[in-house]
Amino acid sequence: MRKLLIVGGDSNTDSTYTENVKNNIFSWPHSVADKMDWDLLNVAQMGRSNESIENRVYDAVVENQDRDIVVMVLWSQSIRQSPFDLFNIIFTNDKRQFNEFQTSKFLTNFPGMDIEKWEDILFIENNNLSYNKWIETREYLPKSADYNQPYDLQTKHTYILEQILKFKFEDTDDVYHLDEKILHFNLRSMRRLKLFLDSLGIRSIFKSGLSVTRSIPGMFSPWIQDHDLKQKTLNIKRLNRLNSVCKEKLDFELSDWEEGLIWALSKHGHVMECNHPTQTGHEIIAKEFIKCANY
Amino acid sequence: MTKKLLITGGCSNTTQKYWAYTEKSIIVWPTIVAQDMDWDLLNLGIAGSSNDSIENSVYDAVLENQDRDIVVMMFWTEPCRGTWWDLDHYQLHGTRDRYTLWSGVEKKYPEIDHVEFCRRFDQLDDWSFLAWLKDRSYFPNNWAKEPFDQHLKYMYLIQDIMKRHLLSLAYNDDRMLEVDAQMVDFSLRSMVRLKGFLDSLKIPTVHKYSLSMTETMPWSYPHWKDDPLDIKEKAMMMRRKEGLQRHCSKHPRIKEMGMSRKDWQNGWCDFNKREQGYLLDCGHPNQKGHNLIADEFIECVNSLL
Repeated sequence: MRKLLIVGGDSNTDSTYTENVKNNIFSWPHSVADKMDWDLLNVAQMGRSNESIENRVYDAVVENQDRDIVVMVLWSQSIRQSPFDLFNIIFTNDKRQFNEFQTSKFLTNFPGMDIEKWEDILFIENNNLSYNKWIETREYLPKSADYNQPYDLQTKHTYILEQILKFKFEDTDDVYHLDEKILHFNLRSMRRLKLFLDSLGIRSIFKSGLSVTRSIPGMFSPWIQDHDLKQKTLNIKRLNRLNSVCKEKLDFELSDWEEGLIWALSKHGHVMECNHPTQTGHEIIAKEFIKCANY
Repeated sequence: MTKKLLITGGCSNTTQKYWAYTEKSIIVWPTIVAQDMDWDLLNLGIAGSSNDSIENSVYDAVLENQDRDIVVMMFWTEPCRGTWWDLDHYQLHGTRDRYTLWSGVEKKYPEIDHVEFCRRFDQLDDWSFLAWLKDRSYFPNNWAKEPFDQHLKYMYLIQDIMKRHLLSLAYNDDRMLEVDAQMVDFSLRSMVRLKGFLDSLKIPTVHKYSLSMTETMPWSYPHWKDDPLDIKEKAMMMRRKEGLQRHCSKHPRIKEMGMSRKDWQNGWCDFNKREQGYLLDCGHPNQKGHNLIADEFIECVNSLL
């Protein structure tokens, strides 16, 4: 019987990620499945949090227990949330990145959108406009737009959620505790999946697409644009501390957790402008996974 | 021989720290069970907790206590709750009053202008949300040391935004039923996954269900529980409840958990328990209720040991 390769991850693994589709890029799971002559079930989806990646792989394994399964996961960063697995929130802490990331998702759906006006509403006027008015004002959309499409509203909701959580946690007495809780939350998902797969005798290979620790410090501090020297110094201290905690707690194989595999690819120019792997980048990731599988 | 360690997971129906239990000196069921069985107790119940967070806390505790002879008792909660990295929780079916009139803010701060504080919530539409969050002018000095009032505002806003967001995902009636079902599935996965983990370690476990999987779900969005509904909205509520009942009645994970129809449809704290005098006004078990819950857990666990 042919093996079934179940693959989990985010946009670095999802073959339907918009930039992959636009640039005719086949993501690494296809290469692995092709070369190993395995069937493929790729449950990766762009934007997913690590908890949600765990959930999707768990469900896929449970549904295919009659098959001879191999699992490969390219984990994501720790600052994501996927409430009820229904939608994804990426707490980037970077206003520009937030805007570019979110806007790229709906720009194609709203051609002719007034970007300047949109940015004004998103970043400036939320301090001036009333709550309802800020959410409901959609003057940046062209008249021809389909107003039933909620992409811009979802961006605003996410923006408010990020602001609220910043507000909630930024004055905390113990930032290190917050950092460690977030790290632990993510590591738990990885370890729990690993233990589950081990208990079923399923071979699994885990790698980190993005750094597990890097994005955590500063998440609940002011937007990165507003960081002063003191804040930057604190964030470096927090990252160093997190890295040593992570090193101590990692009791399963997770390569590239500190920098992330994508960062390594970017050093050699194997990522696109959007920071996702090029075709060559995907081939390199595939080789890394195959090497582990053969070993 | 060392004493067994009882690990209990749940929400406000399990934690000793829920305000009403403190106020009425109620001893919760985990304490009663542990005393009755002469076991050590690690009660991980947290008020407002979501099922995934309950799963996480028990999972961690079991791993940390693997050298002990463990028994686990789970009193699962409703599906319309979520967590931010286990740092904080939110629930989506609340009333607006819960954050104002019934929040207990005036007990916490005797000096607060309570009328003005409550009025703030009606005025949210007139404020930018950041200014609204930060304003504390209902205090005499515009300041209070503890952030309880801000926590209430933050929870209120989270709930409001989540309601808006879920509605934007559920762009038609069918999609609404799918979103409801997915939220229930999210909880069921946590239950089944923890059960599988505990079974694999051969840890005796009793699973019970404190709240309904279907009743409060239609209130998760778009409405608040104290919103007046028109006939069309009421009909939709009914359709969603029926949709969830259909979804649960043949769900393989409901079967895997061994849940009866009463378990998933009513939960333990249902209207019958209220009529029989087992619940406080706030819907949580009173002392008589906690005694009964403890008896039921003991009966189940005795059949396992």
